Amino acid sequence: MNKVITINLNGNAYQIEERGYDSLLGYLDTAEAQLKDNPDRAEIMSDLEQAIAEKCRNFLSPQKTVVTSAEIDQIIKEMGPVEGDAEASGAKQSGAASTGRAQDPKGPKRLFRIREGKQIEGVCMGLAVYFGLDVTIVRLIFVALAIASGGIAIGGYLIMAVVVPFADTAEQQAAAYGTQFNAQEVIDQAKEHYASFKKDGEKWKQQAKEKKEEWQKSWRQTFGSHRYRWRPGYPPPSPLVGGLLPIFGILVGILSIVWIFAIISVINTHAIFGWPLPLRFPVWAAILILVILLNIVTGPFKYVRNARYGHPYGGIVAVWTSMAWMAFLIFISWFAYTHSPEVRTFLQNLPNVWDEIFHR
Amino acid sequence: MSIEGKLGPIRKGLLEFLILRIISADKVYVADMLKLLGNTEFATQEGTLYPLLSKMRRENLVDYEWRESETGPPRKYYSLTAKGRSQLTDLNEYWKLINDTISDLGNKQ
Repeated sequence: MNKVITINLNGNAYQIEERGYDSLLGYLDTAEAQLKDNPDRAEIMSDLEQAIAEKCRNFLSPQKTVVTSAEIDQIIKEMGPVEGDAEASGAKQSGAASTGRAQDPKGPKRLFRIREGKQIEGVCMGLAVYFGLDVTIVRLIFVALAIASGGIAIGGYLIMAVVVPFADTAEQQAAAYGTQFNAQEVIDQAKEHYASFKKDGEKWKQQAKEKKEEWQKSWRQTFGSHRYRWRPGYPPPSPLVGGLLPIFGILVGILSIVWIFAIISVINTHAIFGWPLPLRFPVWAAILILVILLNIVTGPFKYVRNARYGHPYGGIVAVWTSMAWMAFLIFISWFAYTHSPEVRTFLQNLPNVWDEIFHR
Repeated sequence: MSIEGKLGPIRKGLLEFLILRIISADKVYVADMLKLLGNTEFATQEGTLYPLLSKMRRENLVDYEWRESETGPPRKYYSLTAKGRSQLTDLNEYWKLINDTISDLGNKQ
């Protein structure tokens, strides 16, 4: 079973296997680098994407919805290397097609996840290769860390599983195993970074301190010490607040579950419930946006919950505030639905979420 | 130098001429051009053709229009501009001249 990634080629969605996606990205990056002095670069890139899209379509049928890596390789071979303007015309080019990323083979060693020998997501394997250690040692260190940190290391693992790419192409593998890890170089680099950091650091430190004090002051003024604390001096919460609380709690719960599935969907398919991200849109940025979205949507509910604990603006006001906020969100959703075809596709695909997750 | 090394640049130089000829016959899009060239000595690929066509358009030799296609998104159909046509005429004549020269020279009188 191979991981499938949904991409957006010149406005159309295609599902391709993960390795094929990497090759395709490499081809397009090389093409773009070749055309960097070409005034029509954007237009040629969109022409190329459309040509690739048409070739993808030839491989698809109602029974076959995914373009395989081998088919992508064939498409790239058919497309041929993209040439810069200096020698824009060349027939029957013999020899090497540069399909991979143009990369210095002696470039620095980079951290990649490794598929071969992986247990979960290949993070430990990649770290072992990067530091030249036995993978068992890395795993033991990790387990020890996970216990000692009370689970925080697991979060670190998940973040790395998302952020660190797999070494799939030959160039990436070369970079993963790379030149021997040289402790002296690392120390030198660290010194260099530290020197430049120290220089700018003093200035930032001062600014950060001022900012912090400012925020703390305004925070205390607005919310004081009332948050999450029952104050005998305040009136008890109104029945309306009390009655709505469980409903809001359930809503927040549902939203959280949908949110978790959205994250899974982004990581697995590079699409949110079938709505593909743009070709080069990084997964970590999508996750960041989802985190912010969740906070925006659930924010007012939490506000009501806080109100129960004797918030200065508590009680009925908090309920109305959150109602207004929800109405605003619904309006924004409706507006986006009617004015943006992407959002419409996304919302129409929402019912497919279960298929996406359980029948892949 | 191998024979291929000598023939490559000749084909390379003639590709633009051939594209002008193909477009002069009919409005075509890139896949048509590739098909027409596919069975000849001048077989080429999208990676080469798109940059070349964009260069020719910048030189105002060709122009394109969008046309709907039955199976997919609209396609760019290329046609010659007045400048393209006059350059093609020049090239045709020059090509005839080269051909005559080649067959004349080296033949025993």
